[in-house]
Amino acid sequence: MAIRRRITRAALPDSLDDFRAFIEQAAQQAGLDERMTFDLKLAVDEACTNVIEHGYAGREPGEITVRLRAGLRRVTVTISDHGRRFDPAAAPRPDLKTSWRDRRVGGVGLHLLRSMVDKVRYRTTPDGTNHLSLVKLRPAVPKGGSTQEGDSHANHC
Amino acid sequence: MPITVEQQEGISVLCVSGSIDAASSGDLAAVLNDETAAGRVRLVVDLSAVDYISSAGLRAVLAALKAARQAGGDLHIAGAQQDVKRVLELAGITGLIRCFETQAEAVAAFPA
Repeated sequence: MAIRRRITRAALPDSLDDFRAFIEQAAQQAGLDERMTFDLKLAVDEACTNVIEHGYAGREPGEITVRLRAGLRRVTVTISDHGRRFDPAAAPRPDLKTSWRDRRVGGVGLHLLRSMVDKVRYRTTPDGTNHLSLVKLRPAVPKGGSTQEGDSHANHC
Repeated sequence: MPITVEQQEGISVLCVSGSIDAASSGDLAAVLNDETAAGRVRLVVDLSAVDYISSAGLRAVLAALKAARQAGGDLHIAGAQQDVKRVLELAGITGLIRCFETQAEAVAAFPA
């Protein structure tokens, strides 16, 4: 099912719960499976956490708008804010193979974000708004038939 | 995100429930820090009632792991559910921290 939804909240940690609930509800309306829903929740949470902790660091917390657009083939979630410019796709990759002594405590959020979606796109508009688009492809619909619930779990058994 | 701490044979067992994100991870970090600061560095973090964890939660667990090991102790994870386990794997946590299916196994895995 194709849908468009949006939510705007203050760029504060307490808003993260609302953003995840928004994704959960919109994903349900769009008929996404549990795994896709979880992946999108985590990706959006990490993106918003980054805006809250870094984008608006040392500034008055502004707002974050999250838009979800679901079509038959893909789901696009766009996170918009007016904080500092920052392209998560360009962030350094953490070294996950290192020993516990050398392992950084943080730095894994953007790695998780990138792992959860198929495409990450960042752009800023002339008015200083940052838009981070996360694209997740939906499982292909088999030719000549509609998808049955449970199809996607078939190869786990 | 309620957290309970219980002592079992010299091991601190933390049971966490709900979602661990950047809003709630500070509570987990504070409880873990209380344990390691008091010299209780044999830790089990039971995640069986946790349905969601973000990098903020992993940060708290990694900080406690380091503090515990530097003091000669360790931290084990117990009962992570499928989605949470997947996050732990993707973040490279399962290569650093011993993860067990049950709390009892995580406790028993500490040397006597």
